[in-house]
Amino acid sequence: MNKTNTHIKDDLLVKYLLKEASPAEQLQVEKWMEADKSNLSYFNAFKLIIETSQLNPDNAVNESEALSRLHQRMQKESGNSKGKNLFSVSSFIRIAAAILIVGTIIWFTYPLLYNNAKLVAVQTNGGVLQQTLPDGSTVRLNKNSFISYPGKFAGNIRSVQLKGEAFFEVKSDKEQPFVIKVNDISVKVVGTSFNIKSRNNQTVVIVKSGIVEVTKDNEHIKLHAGEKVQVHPGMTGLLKETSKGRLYDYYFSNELVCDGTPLSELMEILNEKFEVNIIITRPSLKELPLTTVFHDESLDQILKVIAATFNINVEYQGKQILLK
Amino acid sequence: MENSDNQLIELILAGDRPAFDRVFIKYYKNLYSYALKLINDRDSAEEVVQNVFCRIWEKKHQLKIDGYLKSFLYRSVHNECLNYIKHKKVRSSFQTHYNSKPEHIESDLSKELSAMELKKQLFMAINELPEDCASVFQMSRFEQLKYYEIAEQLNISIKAVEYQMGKALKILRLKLMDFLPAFLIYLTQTL
Repeated sequence: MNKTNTHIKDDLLVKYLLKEASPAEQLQVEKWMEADKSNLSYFNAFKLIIETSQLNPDNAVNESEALSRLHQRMQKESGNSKGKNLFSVSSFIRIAAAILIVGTIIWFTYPLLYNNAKLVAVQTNGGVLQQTLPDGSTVRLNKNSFISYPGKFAGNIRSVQLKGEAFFEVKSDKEQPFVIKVNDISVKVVGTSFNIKSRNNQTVVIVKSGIVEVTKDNEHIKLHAGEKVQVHPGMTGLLKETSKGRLYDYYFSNELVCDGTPLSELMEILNEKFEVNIIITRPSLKELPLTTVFHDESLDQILKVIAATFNINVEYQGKQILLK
Repeated sequence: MENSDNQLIELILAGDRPAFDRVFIKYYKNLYSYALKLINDRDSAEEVVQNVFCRIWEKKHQLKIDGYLKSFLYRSVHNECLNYIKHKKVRSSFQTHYNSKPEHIESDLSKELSAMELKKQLFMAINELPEDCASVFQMSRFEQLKYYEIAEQLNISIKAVEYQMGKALKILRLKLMDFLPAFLIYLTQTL
């Protein structure tokens, strides 16, 4: 009984303080306060709590600007510590799948590895595969790619054949350079990381760290970190370019880092990644520079961002996606 | 509203970045004000809220669809503020402030101190309120919503709002007992 009384009183006092009480209730509270000094100090305690707990939202706060600052920070941090993402659920599934594929391949190639004079050949279809070579170098093979190498690197060079696309992290060994034959060019390195893509007879080599020497016929070119070379059939000479952003390792980093990247370059990668056919219909759009990072966004989300950024229309026409 | 929070969490659980951004936009102003109340420094308050959101995205699979997103956010910001206070500047900046003004009138300083202490203890106590009580209290005191608005948003009766507010104040007063009397004496003196 007593307890209910105090409850009603507490409710009422708060109502009074928050100006939610009816005139009759207000009178009731005021009478109660006058009745006893201890009532007044009880009331004052409530008043103090009510006043101290009030938040005064700052109307000068701009949420959208705060959001873009948050985005910048998250981009920076995910760039610094990719490792953290390894443990997200989707990556876990990917890792599990990769382990399964590697397991299967080892099962079939074990006899070859055992007899190390023989060649090891690995072909990927739908998935991406990471493979460690006999010298400890690693290769990440994109889908629909092929690589072959000896069970043990003997002789003057570490020789590897590639078709399709792969990212190499080569263990440093000056005595025994690492040479990759792809299409009609050869890529020679000592110890470095770089991506090679060869599709439809066109080859692109992009260097992430260290120095890479690319040779075609009798021409040599040295590429440093952030540089790339594109080789088309029938082309003479090798031309060095700077690579903007970091799109080439999307298939295992799950990131698309655009840094002044032309829209057309990003679209090429999106076409590969999502196996779609995006067409830029207006030539003036092709060179639009984009600076942002995509992580595990869906194609729709990425296209929405692009549409909003450049104010362009995205039209889905059957198997084609048109940017207008 | 609570329902749409649940929908947003569902989307975030599926890795939907725009939903995450929507939650940020929705609650940023209040969370920032909350942090500012506890740490009195604009940049740090923003950093604290950023920390909370970064962690939410990193550990999004741990989010719960229980209708208490808002309370969860306030609680996260609160704890992050405490961490901040523990590890960083506030203590040292207070010390330099204190040292640089040795002739600071003592009663002013003790007033300042007890007000700070009260505020700290109060927000600590708010943070420990039962979930239902906390949601109602936060909406009333942090968002300045009227009782009928709170009732509408939480889909409960106005009577229930009154009851939760009464309960909140009762709990808070009891928890702050040790800090209140001195302060109330100070109040009566100045009045």
